Amino acid sequence: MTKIKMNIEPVLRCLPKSISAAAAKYEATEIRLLAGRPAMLYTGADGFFITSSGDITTSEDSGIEMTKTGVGEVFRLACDNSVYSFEDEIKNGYITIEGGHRIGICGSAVMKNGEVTYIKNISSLNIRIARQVIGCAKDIFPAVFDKYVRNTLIVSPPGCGKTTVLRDLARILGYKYKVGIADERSEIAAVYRGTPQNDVGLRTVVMDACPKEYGINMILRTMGVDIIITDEIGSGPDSMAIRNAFNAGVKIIASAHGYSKADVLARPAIKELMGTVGFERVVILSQRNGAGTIEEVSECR
Amino acid sequence: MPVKIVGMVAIIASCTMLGFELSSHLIKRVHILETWQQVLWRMSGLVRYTKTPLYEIYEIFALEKGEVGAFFSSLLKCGGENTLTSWKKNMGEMKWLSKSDVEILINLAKGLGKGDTDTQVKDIEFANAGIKSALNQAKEISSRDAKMYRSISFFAGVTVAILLV
Repeated sequence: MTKIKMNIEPVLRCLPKSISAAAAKYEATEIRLLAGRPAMLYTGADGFFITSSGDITTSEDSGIEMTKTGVGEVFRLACDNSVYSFEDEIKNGYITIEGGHRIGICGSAVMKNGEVTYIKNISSLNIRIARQVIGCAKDIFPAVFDKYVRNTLIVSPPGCGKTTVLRDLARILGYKYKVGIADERSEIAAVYRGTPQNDVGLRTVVMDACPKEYGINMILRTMGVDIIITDEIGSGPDSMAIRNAFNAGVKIIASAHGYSKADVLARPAIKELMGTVGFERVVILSQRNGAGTIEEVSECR
Repeated sequence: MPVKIVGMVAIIASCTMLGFELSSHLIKRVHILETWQQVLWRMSGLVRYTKTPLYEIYEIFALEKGEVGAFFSSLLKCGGENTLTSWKKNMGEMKWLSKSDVEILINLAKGLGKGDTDTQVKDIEFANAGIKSALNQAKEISSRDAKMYRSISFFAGVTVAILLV
């Protein structure tokens, strides 16, 4: 039995009245505000335009048009009137607000020494409403925990529930084991001003907004954890850090983009993590019967 | 005769009090500007090094004593209101400051919370430079005029009392 946990209030207080009313009434999963175009609301895969009376319509002409000032105002409120305090997130193209909701940002990038340092003239916002699906990892749990916790790699294409499943695994395991989450993009624990907005377990620590290679090593050295959970691995430095964890006897549960086991094994950085001292199991997820459908569980040893 | 004496004393006392009031106004302005100078200096550190959001900055400075603390306490009650609007609304707490002092703070509020860290720090430092020069001017005026207001008011009171007698 799964249960959806969501706190949409922090999103509603950033939005103009009509959009806020529609978002609450129709249980929006995503809200898109683009300057000069009508405000849109998504409920699952279906997109609608928002009318000035706080309803939704499929007619583009009846949608309320967002101005650049309006988009800026929503962004200002989302940043609690302190845009600079979100600067590190802004340069990655998003901010996470209270409740764990993610706001994607588009505008003009400001570059310094070949790196994006800020985004100015913000003209588009994509607000993704965060939902924690409590209990969604119960089907995958036997693959991860079989007598003891197994080093597990969860693989799926985007939108198949990898992060949601990882979050629920952290919650379940965090009630018994000391778990560390290396949450580079604040997607698992949705930390807002230092506090995880999702229930990630009683004994779970979170290293937020820190590159995985540093986050994993820091948790490993200082927090005395049994298990480290991390999302979307794939680069060489990620592999080095994960190998350090394997060598220290800490279990790793991670996710990676891909369609099959062969798909991820074609990536050298992941392939070298398989085997006797590496990942023991690979779980493939799909969206066949809804997000989080387990397609395959295979042994790697 | 006793009525005349009471009347004279009352005139002298009121004139002297007026002088003291004017002089304390000047001294108060110096104190408030000194507090603002410290507050802005600490604010620039909080923004630069820990990227502390404005709400938390207000919480920290609301603990300051006097008018500046009261000003930040009032800002905490403004919720999601625009920074400029809330600062303008609560500038009443700063009645001891001159128009140009208030202008410096309002100009700071115009951009506060809207830009990146470097811009914010520069804005705060710019405002602090303005406050510093206002403070120097206020100190000069205070040391020159405060004593004068007190003595002139006393002698003015005595003169008026004698003339009326």
